Amino acid sequence: MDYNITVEKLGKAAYDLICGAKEPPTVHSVFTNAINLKYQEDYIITILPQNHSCGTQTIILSEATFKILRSSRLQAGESFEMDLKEWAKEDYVIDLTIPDKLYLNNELSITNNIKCCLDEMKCSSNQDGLASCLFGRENIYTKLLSTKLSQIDLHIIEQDESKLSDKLCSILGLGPGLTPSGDDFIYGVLSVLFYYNRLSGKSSDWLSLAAARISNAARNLTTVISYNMLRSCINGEFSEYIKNLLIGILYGNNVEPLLKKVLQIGSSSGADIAAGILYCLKILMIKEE
Amino acid sequence: MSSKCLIKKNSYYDSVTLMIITKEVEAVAGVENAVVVMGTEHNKELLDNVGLLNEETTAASPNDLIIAVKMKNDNIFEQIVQKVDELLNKKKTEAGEDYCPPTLDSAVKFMPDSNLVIISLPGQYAAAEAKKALLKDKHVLLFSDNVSIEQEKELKELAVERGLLMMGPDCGTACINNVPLAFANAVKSGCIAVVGASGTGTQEIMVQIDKFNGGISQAIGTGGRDLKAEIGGLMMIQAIKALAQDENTKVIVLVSKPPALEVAEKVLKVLKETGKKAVVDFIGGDEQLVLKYGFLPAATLEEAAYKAVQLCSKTYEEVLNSTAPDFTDSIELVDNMAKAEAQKLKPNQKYLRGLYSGGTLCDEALKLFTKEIGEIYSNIPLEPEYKLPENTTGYKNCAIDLGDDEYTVGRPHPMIDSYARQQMILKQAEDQEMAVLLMDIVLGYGSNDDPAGSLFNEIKRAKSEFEARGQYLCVVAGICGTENDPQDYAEQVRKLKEAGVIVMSSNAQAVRFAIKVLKEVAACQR
Repeated sequence: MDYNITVEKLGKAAYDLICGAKEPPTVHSVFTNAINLKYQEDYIITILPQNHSCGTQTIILSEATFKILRSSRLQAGESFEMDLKEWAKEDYVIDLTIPDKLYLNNELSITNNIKCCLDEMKCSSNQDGLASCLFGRENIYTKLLSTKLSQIDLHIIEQDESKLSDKLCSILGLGPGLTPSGDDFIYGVLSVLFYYNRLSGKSSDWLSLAAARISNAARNLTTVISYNMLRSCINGEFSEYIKNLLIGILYGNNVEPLLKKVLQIGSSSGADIAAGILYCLKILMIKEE
Repeated sequence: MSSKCLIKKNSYYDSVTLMIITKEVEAVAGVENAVVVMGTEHNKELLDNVGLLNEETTAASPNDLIIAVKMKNDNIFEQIVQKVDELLNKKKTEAGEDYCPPTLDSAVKFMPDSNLVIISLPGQYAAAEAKKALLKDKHVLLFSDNVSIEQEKELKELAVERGLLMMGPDCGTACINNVPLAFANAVKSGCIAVVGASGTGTQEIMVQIDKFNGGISQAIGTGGRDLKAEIGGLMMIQAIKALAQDENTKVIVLVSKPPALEVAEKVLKVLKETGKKAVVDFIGGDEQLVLKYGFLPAATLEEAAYKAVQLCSKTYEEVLNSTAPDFTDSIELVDNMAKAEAQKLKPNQKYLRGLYSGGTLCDEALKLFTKEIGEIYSNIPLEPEYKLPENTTGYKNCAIDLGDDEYTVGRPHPMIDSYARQQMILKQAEDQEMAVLLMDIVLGYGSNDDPAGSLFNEIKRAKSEFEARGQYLCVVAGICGTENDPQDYAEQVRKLKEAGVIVMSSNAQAVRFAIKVLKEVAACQR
């Protein structure tokens, strides 16, 4: 196929995978706004159009290019023949690592930002998954969540990687969605812990261990797409909208538009990730108090 | 209370789809609870908690989709399965191609703001679907035939009652707000509206308007029986009333086979009330009646187009006595071409054989030929005595409408599939008395991608057979198409000429040319 490809952004893991690939990927699944490519056994790279969040394993194309690509009627299992190496230019790789030269807001500002996010979520988020746990609303998924996550605050405070990962693993694959709500929630929790620890100058080694344990468990406990999402946590890299929201909450003051971007992810995924973020931040703020 | 589940193995649907499925299933009457999740261990635990775990769900893998439903009575489960399939199909096709809703209801749900439904179903189902669409306040284009005249009347009365258009049954052409529907050509937009009880008649008028540098505001098909006494022109009248409200329409062209007198009067009266200028081509019908109402009659489709374009900028009086030129090329050039063709023919070659894909174009050929030469046989004859004898493929002078039911049973219309005409060309070539083979080549949306190319080999073979007998075959084709049609007009002309075909830019011109050749032949014989 001879297309003029315009790559807008590229995650680091996607770049490494494409450049190091010995065999072309196959098509894993094709959705309205996403094309998933499978590398080797279980690496997934997701191709998305503009206005979607770029994660470590994603490629963002211009809207027009994505439409052309999608109109080629790719089918699951087909080998992907386009010259991805040609697309994967280092210039497009965006930095998803945690910045280290910022100064945290004081606790009051962070608490205010959390409150602002909660208010926004209460009005406009999809609460079919775990997000309703923030507001004391029950559904069949949140009923399980409270029992599964009991005492998780202690494990976070104690930085007990083994107990924390066990707790979080107990909600792997739980709930609705292609990336089940529980996985999105975990992604949110881990993103906060990585940012908060690293930026507070604390060691993140225990956290990397916890993330690796969760990621390993995810291989058998959830969908392959979800597993790939969690796999990127091990290096403490999260998608750009998550990064922006966290920076907004921890350093900024105008969080509403940043949260709205996160809420746009998937159907309930954005809300579940945000729920994980706010749930964990509340624990950390209580701890600081 | 009972529970059942549906497993979709290795199925990946985006979260939005899964959410929609959950909501839609929960909305089905009698459903207590629906859980749509991937088959992960923790989701199975959850299903167990809510009493929805069974052998099937236990066996699911994390990459399988589980749709588990708790319902009052399990006889609604089939309905749920159907609903889920419909939704999954919809999302699947959205991802790779246009969504094809499986039912009218799902189509309307998918596009609630739609206001027109095109129906192409076997006749026995078509009327019921058309009625459903009208009851949903949608205009209808009913492509299907084999709908009884009683059903047609009922549908059209319902449409009139609800202020809707019911185009058809057997309506193959329309262009609404510059959107071509079914068989239609890519024409310029403008101020002329065509209301036609004839598909190719409407197409030919639209094409000729385009060639005379006019443009189309609307083209509304009514179906071929609309002006019969039983239907009373219900839809032609409805269409005229709609056009009266259409600010973009300045001139209206009506095209139809001659209607029943009382219907014609009714239609013309409504047309008069619009206050808009009009040309009426009741093909071969009563011109005086048209003149009585102050409109312009037309002898051919091309002339109707010509007069309509003239009327856009002139008065009735100025246009009344003007006629379209007989040929686009100069008459001397055409005479010379006809003489040259006639001279190549042998004395025993005297007959015209018309092989048409468009019924109205065939009908126009019959009328022009009858007027100039005389008797001509057909499967759609002007008079019953000229009905083509059964089991014959050619008889004396004849023109055959290959789109008529007898030739289309079990195969697509000849405007789409050239097979019937290819076979017929070869059959006709066996007849040593044939002098001129006359055809229409209809371009536009919906038609064959390459009609000229699809007939190229058969035309060459037919000509070769005549040559092998020491004869010559004159082949004439009228092209109904514009330069903007998807088939590439210039390329179609080139292919026809390469096959040795005399190409004319309208059906009327093609027929006139064929007549000229035959008259030359007759003159030579005298």
